[in-house]
Amino acid sequence: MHLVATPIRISDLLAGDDEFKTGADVLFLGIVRGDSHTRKVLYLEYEAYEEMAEQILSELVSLSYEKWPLEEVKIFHRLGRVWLGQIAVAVEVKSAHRGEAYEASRYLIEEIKHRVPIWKKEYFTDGTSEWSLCSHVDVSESA
Amino acid sequence: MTMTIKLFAVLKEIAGQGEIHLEVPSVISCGEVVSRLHEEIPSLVPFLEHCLVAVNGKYADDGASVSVEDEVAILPPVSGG
Repeated sequence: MHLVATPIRISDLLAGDDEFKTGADVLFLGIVRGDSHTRKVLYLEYEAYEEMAEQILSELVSLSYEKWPLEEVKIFHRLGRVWLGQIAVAVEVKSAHRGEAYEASRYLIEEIKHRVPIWKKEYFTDGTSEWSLCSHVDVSESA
Repeated sequence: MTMTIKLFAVLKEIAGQGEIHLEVPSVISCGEVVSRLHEEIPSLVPFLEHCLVAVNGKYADDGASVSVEDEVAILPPVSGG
């Protein structure tokens, strides 16, 4: 499962490689920031179309193994309330050399942001809240 | 026939429910499903033009056909990460 309702911990990541094939371990963490444009954020709430999101995340992991010679790929994305400074998304890519790990990491986080049906609602310190309307997949490229 | 349509995020909040039931012909296009939603819940109209339709967990274009057997969902612009 990639979608998690409890805090993502660093101890869930960065595990050792018993076979010593990994030479590069690139970890991207998306962290909840305290400002959104000019407003102060209190916390975020994430919601997903869970079945579809899990399916696309699994497909993205499979695609990344096809595109690059990777040792291991892990993706976790939070659901529910996530406070400032907490991890909202984690993408870890292990490979023999750094080039493919960096490329796959960037590919995965960009695809997550554009294709996976997850939505973020921002709650501000002034008591207001707003759904974040970011981006969307181009259906013609989604097959 | 009755089609169940899943709503998420801002759509769910405005509609006040995560599922809408629409009376539809046995086969209908995704674009027609969205048009029916315009009629049923006018308050969704400003948001629907930015949304995509998913059928059985896959993004679908407006011309794709759906039946009441399919799982149909309307997805606002995603904002994960």
